[in-house]
Amino acid sequence: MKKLIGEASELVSQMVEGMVHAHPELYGRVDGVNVICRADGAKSGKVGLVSGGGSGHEPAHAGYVGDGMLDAAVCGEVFTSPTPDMVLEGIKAADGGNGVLLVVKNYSGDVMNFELAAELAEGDGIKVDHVVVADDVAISNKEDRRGVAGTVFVHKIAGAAAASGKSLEEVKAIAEKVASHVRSMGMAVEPCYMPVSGKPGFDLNEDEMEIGIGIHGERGVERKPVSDVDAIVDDLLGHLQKEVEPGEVAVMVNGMGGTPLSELYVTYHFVAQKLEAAGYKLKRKYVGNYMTSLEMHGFSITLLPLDDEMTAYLDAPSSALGFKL
Amino acid sequence: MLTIDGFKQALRHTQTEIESQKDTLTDLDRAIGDGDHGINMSRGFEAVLSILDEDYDSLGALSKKVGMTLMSKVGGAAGPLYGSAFVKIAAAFGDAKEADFALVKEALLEGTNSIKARGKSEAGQKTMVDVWEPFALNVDEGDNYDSQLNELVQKTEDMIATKGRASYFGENSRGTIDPGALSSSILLSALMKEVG
Repeated sequence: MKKLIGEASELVSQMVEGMVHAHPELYGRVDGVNVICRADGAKSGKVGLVSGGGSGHEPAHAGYVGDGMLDAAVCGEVFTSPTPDMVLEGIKAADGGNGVLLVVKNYSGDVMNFELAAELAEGDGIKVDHVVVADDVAISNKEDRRGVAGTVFVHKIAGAAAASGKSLEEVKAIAEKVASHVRSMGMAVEPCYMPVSGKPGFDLNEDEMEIGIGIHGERGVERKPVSDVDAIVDDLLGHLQKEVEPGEVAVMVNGMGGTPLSELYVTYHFVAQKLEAAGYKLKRKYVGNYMTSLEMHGFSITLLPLDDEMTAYLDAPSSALGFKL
Repeated sequence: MLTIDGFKQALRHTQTEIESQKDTLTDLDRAIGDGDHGINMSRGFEAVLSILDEDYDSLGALSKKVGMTLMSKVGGAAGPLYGSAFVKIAAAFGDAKEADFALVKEALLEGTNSIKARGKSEAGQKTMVDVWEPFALNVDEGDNYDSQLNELVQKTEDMIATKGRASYFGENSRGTIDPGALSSSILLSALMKEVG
C-alpha cells in the first residue's frame, strides 16, 4: 500500500509537529511528547478537558483542541492507546486548578492507560475524573461497546459546559448524559492499511462490505454482499432506531477517512429522508470527517437525542478546527 | 535458579523471539483484533533491551524497571498489562539477587493477579490470562515448560473471546489463537529456560 509518509515510526510525531507549526495560534506541544495543548496554555479556573487515544482518527482528537472544546489531546501511535505517562502530560497541560475531566473511548487499552494516568495525576494533587464513551450499537453487549464518532458530541458539549465555568462534577454530569444517550454505527466498503506493517485491517473481496466496523481498521461484526447506499442506510438506521426514540435529534454522517464528500452527502440525503419519514426532527446536522480510520472507505451514522441544555452547548462557539460551526 | 544475569538473558531472548515472530503476532491480531500486537511488543522489548546494560542490585529493581519501560513504550492494552505484571513480579522478588523455582512461581502468580485485576479479566476469556494463570498455578520444577506453554496457547484457538478487542467478533473469534497468549508464552518460555 502506498502511503504519503516518512519513516512510519515517526508518523505521529511528524504529524504533531506539522499541526503545531501550521496553527501556532491554536496549538502548542508538550515538550518531547505527542501531546497537543492550547497555544496559550491551561485556562486558570476552568475545568480542563482531555481526550486522546490512538492516532489515525484525524481530525480526532487534536483537531478538537481549542476554545469551547478540548484543552489537550494525547496522540498515541496509530490505533494504539497512548501510555499513562503521556496522558499524565496531557492532564498537567490542561489543569487550570479546577480539576480535569478525561473523555475516554471504551477500549480496554484506553481505559487502562487513562485510569493509570488519573491515578498518577491524583498523586500529583490534580483532581481528575473520567467518562467512558461506548456509543457503538454494532456490539450488542452494552459493556463491550466501542467508543466511536459519538465521542465528538461529548467533546463538544462537555467542552462548552467547561468553557461556561461549570464545576468538574457538573461537566462530568453533562458528559455522562451525552455518553449515555448517543448511539452510532458504521460500515466500510474498503479497509484501511496500517502504516507500519502496510497490511490492510481486513481482507475484503470486491463485492463485499463490512457492517458494524469500529475505528481501528478491524473487521465489522457482519460481512455482506455490497448493496447500494440506500439499503445500507436502512440497515444501519434499523439498529440505531431500536435505541433512539423518534424526537429531536442531532445527526452526524461521519466519513471514515477515504470517503468522498459527495458520497457522504448522498448518504446523508438518504439518512435525512428516512429519519424524517420515521418521525425524527433533525435539529442539528453534521456531515464530514469527524472520527476517521486512516483511509478507510465507509461511513458511520450517529444520533443524539437533544434537549435544550445539550442543544445550547452544541451551538456554543468553538474555535476547534475539527468542529467549526 | 534465576539470577540477575539470567533474568537479563531471558529478556534478551524474549526480544529476539518477539522480533522473529512479530509478523505472526500482528497477523493473529489482524484476524481478531486491530493488527498491532507484534509492532507494539517489538517496540516495547526494543526499549527493554536498552535498559539491560545498566547494573541492578536486585531482581526486584530490574523487574520494576522492565515494567515501567513496557508501560511507557508498548501502549494499547498490552502495555499496562505486561507493565503491571512486571511491577508486581518486582514486589514478589523484592531485594533478592536470585530466585529459586518456588519464588519464581510465586512471582508469576503475583503477575497473573495483577494482569487479571488491571484487565478485569478471568481465565477462559481468550486472553493472555489463559497462559499466565494455568501455567503459574500448575507448573512444577523440571516440567517440560515449553510443551505446557504451547498447549495453553493452542487451547485459546477454540475459545470465544469475551474480553478485549477480539470480543467484538464473538463466535468469529474462534479458530484463531490469541496473540496475547502467544506473546506471553514467548516471555514465559524464555524466563523458565533461565530458571531451569
